[in-house]
Amino acid sequence: MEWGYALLVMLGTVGFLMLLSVPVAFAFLSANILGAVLFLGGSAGLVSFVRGMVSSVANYNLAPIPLFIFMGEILFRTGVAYSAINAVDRLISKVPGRLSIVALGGGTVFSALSGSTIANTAMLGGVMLPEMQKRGYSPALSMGPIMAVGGIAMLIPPSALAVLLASLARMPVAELLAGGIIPGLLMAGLFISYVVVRSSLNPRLAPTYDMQKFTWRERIVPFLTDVLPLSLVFISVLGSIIAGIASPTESAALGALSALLLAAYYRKLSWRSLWMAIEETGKTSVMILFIVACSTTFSQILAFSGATDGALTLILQREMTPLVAMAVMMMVLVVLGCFVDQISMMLITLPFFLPMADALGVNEIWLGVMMLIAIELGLITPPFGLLIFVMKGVVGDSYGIRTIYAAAFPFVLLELIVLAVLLLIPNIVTFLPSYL
Amino acid sequence: MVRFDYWLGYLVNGLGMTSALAISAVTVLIALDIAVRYLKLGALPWAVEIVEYVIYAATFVGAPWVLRKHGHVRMDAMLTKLNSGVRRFVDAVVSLIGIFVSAILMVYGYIAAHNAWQENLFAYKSLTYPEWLLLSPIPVCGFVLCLQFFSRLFLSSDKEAVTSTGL
Repeated sequence: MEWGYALLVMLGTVGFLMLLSVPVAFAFLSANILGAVLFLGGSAGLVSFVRGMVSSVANYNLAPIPLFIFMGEILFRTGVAYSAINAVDRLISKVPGRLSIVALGGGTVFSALSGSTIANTAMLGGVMLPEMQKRGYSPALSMGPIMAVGGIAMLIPPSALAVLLASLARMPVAELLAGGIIPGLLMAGLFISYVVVRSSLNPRLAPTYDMQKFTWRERIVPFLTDVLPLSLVFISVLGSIIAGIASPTESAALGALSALLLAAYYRKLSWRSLWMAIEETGKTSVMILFIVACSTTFSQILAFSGATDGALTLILQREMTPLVAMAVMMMVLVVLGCFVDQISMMLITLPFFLPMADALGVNEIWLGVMMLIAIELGLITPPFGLLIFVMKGVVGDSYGIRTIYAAAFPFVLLELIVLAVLLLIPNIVTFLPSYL
Repeated sequence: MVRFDYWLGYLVNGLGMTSALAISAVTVLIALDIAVRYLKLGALPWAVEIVEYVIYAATFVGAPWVLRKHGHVRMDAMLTKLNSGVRRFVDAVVSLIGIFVSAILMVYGYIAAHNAWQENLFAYKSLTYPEWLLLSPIPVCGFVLCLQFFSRLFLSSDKEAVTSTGL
């Protein structure tokens, strides 16, 4: 079984080096160097690998990734996003679990403006968590919703991760972005319902408190002035794609430009905040794109060595229906997500999932959106959920890591429910993209 | 060694800032391209290519900077549970692996660029570039990554930043 050996060498090298805490990009680089030597003819294979690195990132379709990150960073660093959350805070009246709902509502609004899950969690954690702790909210209804809202950020456009997935899987970017909207809103609705029900059943989890009295005018005006204009960013991104004015890359640039203009309009754009946004965008973008470059021939080596075909034949012999195959693929991602980061999950699984989905006639947008949700779950599942560690960074020593895991757990279950619903009713995903 | 790292910091941070500025400049270029097209002022047919090459070059030029800032995502949760002696040892092994693969990147990047120069290869699109020029950021990146890993090998500290870089 020659292909088994190739599979072991490639996946084994990446897995072992990642476990050794070698940065993901260098783990893939090492595996590819080894793969090029063993399976692509040594020196010639290495030269071909290096040349392939150029074309892997010199790709116009990848440009939305830095642009979406820049958009979120501008709104985050200038403080425009904070005003929007304050406005959402004023708008929501006295309901059970009010602050959790504000976090989920504000997070959903910011999801439509930012392409970064981490920025979303860090911002909400910094703004909402101290207030929730002061009001006696339990970890389950304070940290839980803040971490969970990251999943919504990954689904609702602009989403840098969706662009990366579309680019790696050669899926249409615009359709994948549109496909995430309804599932994202569904998830937000489910999270809010959960918070309301749980805090109604047990008010001690989210104690009610006397709110400052505001007139209707005082409630509505901040929403109109601080939130509504921000829809310009969302409209620039998605509106320009739907109207056929711009390609996904161009729409991302328009979104970034409108974020800059809005920050200037609110008089919050300073050289310092602009530079911080530029620096963070550069750091995150280079990190992602360097992984893409270093993993460029990974799937080709797997295919060339026969590992992809071999594994696929073995799987297809089981005669799975598309539904069962999708369920299996999602289970693999959910388990993988407990140990591996988001980009690695895509790079490891796509060489197998894409031909498998193709052979079984699975809709690619359905697969893409389901993958995004399953990958996002990995951000809040123990032991290595990235958002768990971001939250730990925000709360410091106030809560232990086990408390944070426990806070995330109900939302993990809710996301699994969403995943199951989308598995059974694919139209929820494919409805909007069918109009593009 | 400290002095070496000090001067290396200038080089790596300079490259990083250039990379970050170049990535942000892409926004302006694409917006300009759309504006020119819709205002019927002509066309910028080279804009797409410039965007592609800027993103590519910025990625390789900025990679050592991200390494210096501990920004390359890695699974370090297990590492943080080890005692500091073992952690230093693992860190040293990681740096040695980094030096080795970066050196291969540098050598084969150079060979690819040298071959392109010898064979007089050009990339013909809207603009025409010699291929060796397009390939040159890769050996440069490999070289600076080697230096940065080398510096980490001797100046590794327990104060490694918690990786929070992601999407």
